[in-house]
Amino acid sequence: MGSEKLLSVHKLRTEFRSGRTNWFPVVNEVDLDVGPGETLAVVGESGCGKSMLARSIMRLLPYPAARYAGGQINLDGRDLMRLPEAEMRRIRGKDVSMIFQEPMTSLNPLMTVGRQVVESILEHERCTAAEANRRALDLFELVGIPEAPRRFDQYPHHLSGGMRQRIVIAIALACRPKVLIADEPTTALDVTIQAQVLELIDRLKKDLGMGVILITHDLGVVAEWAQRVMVMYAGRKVEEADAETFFRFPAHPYSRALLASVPQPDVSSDGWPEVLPEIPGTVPPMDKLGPGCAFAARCRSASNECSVATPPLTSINKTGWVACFQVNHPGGLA
Amino acid sequence: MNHVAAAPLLSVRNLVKYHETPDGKVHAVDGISFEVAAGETLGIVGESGCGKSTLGRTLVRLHQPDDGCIAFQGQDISRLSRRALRSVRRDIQMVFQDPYASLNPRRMVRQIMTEPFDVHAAGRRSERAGMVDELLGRVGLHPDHADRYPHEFSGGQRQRIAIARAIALEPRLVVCDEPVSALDVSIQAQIINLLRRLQSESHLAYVFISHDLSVVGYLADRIAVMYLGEIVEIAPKPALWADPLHPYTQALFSAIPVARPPSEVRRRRLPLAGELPSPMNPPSGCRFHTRCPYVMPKCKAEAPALSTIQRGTAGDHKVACHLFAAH
Repeated sequence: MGSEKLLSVHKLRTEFRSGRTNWFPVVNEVDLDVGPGETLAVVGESGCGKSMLARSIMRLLPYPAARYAGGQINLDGRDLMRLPEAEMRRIRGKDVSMIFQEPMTSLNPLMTVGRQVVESILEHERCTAAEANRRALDLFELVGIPEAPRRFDQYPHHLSGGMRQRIVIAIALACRPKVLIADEPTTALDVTIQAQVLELIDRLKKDLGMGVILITHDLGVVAEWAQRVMVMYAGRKVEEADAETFFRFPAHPYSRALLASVPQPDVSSDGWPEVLPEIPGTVPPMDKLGPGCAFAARCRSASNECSVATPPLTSINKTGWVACFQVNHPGGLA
Repeated sequence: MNHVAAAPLLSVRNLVKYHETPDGKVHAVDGISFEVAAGETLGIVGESGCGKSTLGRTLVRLHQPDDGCIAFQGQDISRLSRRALRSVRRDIQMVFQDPYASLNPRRMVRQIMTEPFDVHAAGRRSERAGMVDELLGRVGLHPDHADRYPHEFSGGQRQRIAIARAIALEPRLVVCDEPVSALDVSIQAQIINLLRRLQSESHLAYVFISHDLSVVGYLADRIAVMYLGEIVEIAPKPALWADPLHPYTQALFSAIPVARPPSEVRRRRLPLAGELPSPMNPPSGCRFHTRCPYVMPKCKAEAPALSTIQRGTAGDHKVACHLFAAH
C-alpha cells in the first residue's frame, strides 16, 4: 500500500437499524485503497454488503435506517466522514462519482440528456452556459455516443439501455472525478454492450488517471477489467488479492466456491464440468449473524473453531489478505 | 442424442409472431424453424429484442402465432382451441425468469402445487397431499415448505417451487425463459444442477432461453443463435463453441468475459459496430448487414437462407450467411 492512494477507507463500519434500539453491521471493519489508474473489484453475492459499502463511501446512506458507526474515508487527505453535508455535496460528482446499475432510474425522464450533463457541470464548476454546453458535447463524444448533437436534445426514453448507461457515465465523468464507483454498471446490459461500456470505463480510467471501484457479481468481468479483487461476505472483507493471484490461487473457501460455480469450459480438458459445484444454502441475513465465521455454515472446510470466533483478516503474501482459520493454519488449506 | 433418425418431439416450421404496437408492427419472431428431440436441451441465445422470449411464449401458446406450424409429437398445436390446448399443456410447461411474479402470493405452496393436479384431474384427491410432498422432495425442498407462502422463500427456493409446479404432470418439454438470470452464481449452480438431474430422471426436453451464453453453453446439447427475429446459426454445442461461423455469433462469443487468470485470457474481441436496428423496420437482405464487418453488396439485397454447413450425428451445423454460400 503506497502513499499515492487516491481513496483509502479504514475500518469502515455501517449499521442498519433493527427494531427501535438495535443496530447491526452491514459493512463491518472494511479497509480498502484505490490508486490512480487502478480498478479494484468488489465481489460477492447479493446481500453481502457491496452496495452499502459504495453508498457509505458516497455518504449516501438511507436515513434514518442506517448510520455510520466508525472508521475513516480518506479522499485526497480529507476524511469524508467528518465533512458537513454541504461540503460533501460539492465533493460528490466532482471528486468521487458513482454509476448505478439501472440507468433509467438515475436519469431524469423529463429532461433532455444533454441538459442533464450540462447541469452536472454547472453544479460543480464556474463556467458559462455556452461553455458547459460545449463541454457536455465533448463528453458525449468521449463516451462514444454517435450523432452527439442530435442525441443531445433527446430524452432518456429515446435511447437504448447501452446509450443511457453512456449518458450516466458522461454525467459521472463531467467533472473529471478522481474516483469512480461503478455499482454493477453493466448488469442490465447485453454482453456485447457490456464489453463496450467496460472498455469505455477502462479507457477513461487510464486517460484521466482515475481510480475505479467496480462492484460486480460477475467474476468474468473481474478477471478482464480489475487489477485487484476484494471479496465480501456478510459485510466483511474475507479476501483481497491482485487479480492474477486471485484467479490462480483463490484462498478463501468462499472465493474458491464462487469461482468453481461459474459455468465455463474447463481449461485443462476443454470440456464442461459434469456437475457444477454448488454452494449449499444462502447468504445469511446480516441481522442474524452469530459468533464465528459467517460462511462456516456453507463451508466444506469448516471446523469447530470456525463457529466460535471470527477469523481475522491476515496477510498471506505481499498483496494478499484472507480471513479464514483453515487457510491461516500452518499446513492448512492453501 | 440421435434426434436425426427419430421423429422429433417438437418441430417448428416457419414460425411467425408479430406484435402490433402504436408505432408499427414488431417482427419479433420472423420465420423460424427448428426441431427438438425427446430428452434434448436446445439453448436459444441472443440479445435483448432478438425475439427469444416471444419465441418461448409462442411455443407454449401464450402467444397465438401469426403463421407457421408448431408440431408437438406429430400434432400441429399452432391453431388448437383453448380447450384442445389443455391436454397438450400437460406435456409442455414453462418456467419464467421471475418466480415471484409467476407464483400467486396469496396462496400457500401446497395450493399452488395442487393446482396442476386439480386442473388435469391427476391422481385421487386423497393422494394429492402425498404427491405434493414427493414433488417438493424432487426439487430439493422439504414437505414442511408446503405450508408457507411464496414470500417466505429465497429467490432460489422460489424457482425450485416454480420448477416443481412445471414438472408436476411429468411433461415431455419444458420451455425455460431465463430461469437463473435473477439468481446469484452459487444459487444459479444449484438450479442448473437441479434442471439437469430432473432431465436425466424423466427424459425431459428443454428449450432453454437465455442471454447468458455460459449458462446455455453448460446446459445445452444444441444452441440456436437469434438476431432480430431470425435464427442466424444453429449447431451442436461443441461445434458452435469451437467454431462459431456467423459473424454475429463470433462477436457475441468474443464478448463473453472469462473468469480465469488475466494472463491466460487471450482476448480477441470483435466489436459490433452500431446499435441493434429497430425490429419494427428490420434491415433489407441479411438483417445483420448494418453491423457486419464482412458485409458484401449481396448482403444488402438478398436474405441468406439457413443452410447446412456440416452434417453430424449430434445435429447439423447450419448458418444463414452469404460468406458460406459456396458450400
